[in-house]
Amino acid sequence: MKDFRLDLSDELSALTPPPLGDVVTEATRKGRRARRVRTVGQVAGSALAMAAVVALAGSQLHGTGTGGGTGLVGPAAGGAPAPVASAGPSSTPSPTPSGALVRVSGTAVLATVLDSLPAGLETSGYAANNATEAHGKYAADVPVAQVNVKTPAGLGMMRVFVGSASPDAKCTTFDGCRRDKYGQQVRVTHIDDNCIQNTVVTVRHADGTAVTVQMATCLAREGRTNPPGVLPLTEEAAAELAGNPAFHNMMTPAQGAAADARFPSLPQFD
Amino acid sequence: MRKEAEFTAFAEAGAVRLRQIAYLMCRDWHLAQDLTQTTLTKMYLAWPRITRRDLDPFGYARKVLLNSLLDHKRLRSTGEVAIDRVPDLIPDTVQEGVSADTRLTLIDALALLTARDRAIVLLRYWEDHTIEATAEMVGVSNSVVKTQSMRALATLRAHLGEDRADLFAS
Repeated sequence: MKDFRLDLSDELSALTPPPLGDVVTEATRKGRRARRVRTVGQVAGSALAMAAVVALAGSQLHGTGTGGGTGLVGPAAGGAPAPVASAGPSSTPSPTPSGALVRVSGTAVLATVLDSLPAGLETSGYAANNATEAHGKYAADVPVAQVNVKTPAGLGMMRVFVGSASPDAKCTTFDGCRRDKYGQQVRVTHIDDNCIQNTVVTVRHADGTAVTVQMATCLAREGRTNPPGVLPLTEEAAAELAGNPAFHNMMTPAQGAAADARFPSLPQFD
Repeated sequence: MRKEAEFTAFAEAGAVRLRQIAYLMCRDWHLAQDLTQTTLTKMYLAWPRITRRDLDPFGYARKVLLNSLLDHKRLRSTGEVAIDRVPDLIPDTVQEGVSADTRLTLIDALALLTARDRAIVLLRYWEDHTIEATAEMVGVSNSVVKTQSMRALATLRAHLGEDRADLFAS
């Protein structure tokens, strides 16, 4: 393909593009401003979250895990049963008197993941945050939760992203897409040379919520390496998890506060 | 301040190439310029993380750029539509005196592909990435990259004619 590159190079050289201008200075200026806005937002968000936690302290909260902790999950372990079997894919959280819907948080995603996993699974290594482009396409600013799952073969790590599906995503077998029992689009992708995204299962819900389960063949980075791991779930189980209608890209502030109280000191990862 | 100086050095060195990739994708210098600036702004915000994790900054920037481009096309309801010929360059009737130089260029032919196929072809054969890296950047599976790149090359071959088939010799 050398000729392809050479010809394209020649054609580009023959063009007369407009001057590049001061694109670097402008990008730096906008970046500084965005960083300032983000910092102010984080401070305000932290204050709100603290207020919510204080207001809810002492209220009855269910849950199995603690921040960065371990636990058994699912109904058998005392967590709220996930409505996998009973609910259809149309249940959407409704705004309550406590406030309008807000973007779901990583912590709330973690709570839903743990409540949705098959009962009795031993989990650990909880973490959550809002993702960046580094987590993959469509992952920008998508909340994500990280969970380690103990399997007979060893420890496995997965990350679950909850965002919005591309509105014009088509579903064809050619694209590796199938439909689950709810008629939701399920895509499975394998990236053999990327241990974090070794097997990626995405389910597009009827309400436009997209849930992506990234199953790793390694564990989260420790220092400069990722310790070896095993796939935490089968592809079918991951599709079942991602297809759970309990996942939504929006939540009520009360749901967010409850999740924050359930995991008060959750570590972040990058 | 050292990190900001590093970012500035990277941005100044990479801006032209980023705009070139953007142009090849959209064939609009102004849009290419906007997307380059958006990409560099995002790079500025991500720069501490990129350096902390020893990521390849240009690879990261290229990924941000392609995502922005594909998202831009997805969001535009009146976006570019792939067509099967370029009227300006493929006259319906043979004209006397038209030189061979009016033949379809590679850039014209690339414009006939869909945005995703164009990204796959450019990443594979212009940027020389592996199938796996291309799949990861475009957000599709390896098999999609393989099949779509073969189809896209066949489309290019069909438009460019047999006399330029050597362009695609491996």
